[in-house]
Amino acid sequence: MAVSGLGEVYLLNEDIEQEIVSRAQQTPESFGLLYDHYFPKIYNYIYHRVRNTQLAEDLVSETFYKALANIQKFRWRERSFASWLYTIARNQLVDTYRKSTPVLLDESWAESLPSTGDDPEEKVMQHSVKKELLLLIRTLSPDQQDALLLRFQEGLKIKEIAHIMDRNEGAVKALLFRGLKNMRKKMEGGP
Amino acid sequence: METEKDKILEELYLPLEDLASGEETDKLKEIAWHLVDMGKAEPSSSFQSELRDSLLREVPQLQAAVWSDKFTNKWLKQFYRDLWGPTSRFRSSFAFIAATLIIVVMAVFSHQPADPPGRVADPQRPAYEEQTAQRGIHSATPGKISPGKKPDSEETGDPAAEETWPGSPVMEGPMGTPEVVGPQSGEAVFPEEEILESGFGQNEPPIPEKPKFQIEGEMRDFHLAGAVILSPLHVGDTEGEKSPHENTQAVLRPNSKYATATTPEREAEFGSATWAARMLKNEGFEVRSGDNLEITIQETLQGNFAEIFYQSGGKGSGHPLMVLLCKEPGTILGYYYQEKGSYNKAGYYPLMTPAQALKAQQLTVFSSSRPSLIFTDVRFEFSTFHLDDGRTQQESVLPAYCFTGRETISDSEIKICLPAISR
Repeated sequence: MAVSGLGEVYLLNEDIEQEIVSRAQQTPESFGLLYDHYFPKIYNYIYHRVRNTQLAEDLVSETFYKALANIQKFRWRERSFASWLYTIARNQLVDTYRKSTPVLLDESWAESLPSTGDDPEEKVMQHSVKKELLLLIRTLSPDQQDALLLRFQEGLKIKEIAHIMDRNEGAVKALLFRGLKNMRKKMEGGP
Repeated sequence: METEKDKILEELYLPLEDLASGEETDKLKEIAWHLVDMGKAEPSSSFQSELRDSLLREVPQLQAAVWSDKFTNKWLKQFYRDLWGPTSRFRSSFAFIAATLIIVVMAVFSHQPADPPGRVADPQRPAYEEQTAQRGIHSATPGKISPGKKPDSEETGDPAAEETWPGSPVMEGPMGTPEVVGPQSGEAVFPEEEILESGFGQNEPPIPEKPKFQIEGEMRDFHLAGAVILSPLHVGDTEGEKSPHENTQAVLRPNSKYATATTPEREAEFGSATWAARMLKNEGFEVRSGDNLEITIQETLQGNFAEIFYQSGGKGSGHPLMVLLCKEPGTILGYYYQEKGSYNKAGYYPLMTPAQALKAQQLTVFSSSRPSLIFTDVRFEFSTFHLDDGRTQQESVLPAYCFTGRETISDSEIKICLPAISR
């Protein structure tokens, strides 16, 4: 088990995660381990959904406070701890958008996009494509955004996404397919 | 050669391939890859560590909340808040009382020879452990359980009911008259060891000699304003071709009969909902989903007793509430119904059994041959009957057994409602 301190990357297999969750349920101080592991993931998911640093930080804080307060209620049944945590995060997002608070997008997000390769021209192209994709993804329905981000950014399984979104697996697959198809259409200049 | 990108896409995208053609799949995979390769959002390290610290600072409060959540009963939560909350008015008073009690208890125990903890001082009474082992009937379904509530001893006048274990669960029957029951599985269970160690077992009330039923305090008698006139039944042929058969015999034969004390595997635990449903089924009443069924139990030196409260259709149905008094394993001691004051004075009135009600009525059946009536199902409802006082006839709403069955010769379905009241 490779568990280390704040900020370092470590892997959790299911058995170890169960043990850590169980420990956190008995002694909430152990919640720190789960926090360290999941903070970057939850932050990434929320940030890509809201694209606003201040709002993302608020929602991430809310998510972890709720997780800590309710960890006693979490039970290993059909769902993983990750899907439980993402569900809390998604509920925060849904609540935020239900309030219809206008959110200003950060301008800086596009500058930080990574690009690979040595060729400067290729880098510029990649950067341009990614920036366009990020803009396009925001034109999709919230459910399509969620499905695409959870699948391709967070690497979650279809089953986990189905739990998080309270849909069946077929519906999640359809959301992913339609989301990608819509993005392709828009990239090709469609409506 | 398969690249890392292909591997990732294969893993991520595989479930979608059945939704798109080959060429389209490749294009969609390319977009998916851009999403995978988009890079992760970078939080500020100060925010991550500040949030971590802030969360860990919350842990003591959360632990306190978790502790209080264990007392899921709202009353206990409120009590806890009242005593220790920041706005508590009783905090100082409680601290003073608690300190005084501790001093008094210590003074008393320092001057008394100590009994073994958990042992009952009265040698004629078995120890608490033995008593609990002898019991086995603590479950009662699905009454409301609330901790620490004392029975209304003033009303019952039963000195045995005036004592109970502090914190022991109390079952409220449908009439809100609480009945003390022993420890059972549920929210407000206190471990036996705790009870014994704290000496609470010494205050356990003795087992009463005979049962005291909840309904006893409100028993009434029924007085009809005249004789019930039943409409004749018509069976089989058209009305004009039939001849009347007076005093036709009718019998109740419920579809199923359950043994209550034959072989262990066929028995249902005395006092359980299954047991009560079987008791009712044996009498012709089919307990259905949505019906209200509550049971209270009590143990006495004469044996174990139960009151079954049954209302078909549930509490809001308008059907009358029927009460069966039973003795273990399955003897019915009496039938009663609760009148809420709509048709008569409020209280509990004795009823006949369904079989007695069938025998008591003189049925007149019009049929081409002597009929044979066999009923299998009974519903307990209010029904309107004609009463004849010798001078006038009037309508009266009475609790009734409404039977469903068949006339065996013509195989006609028969439904009749008969008064259920015992006079």
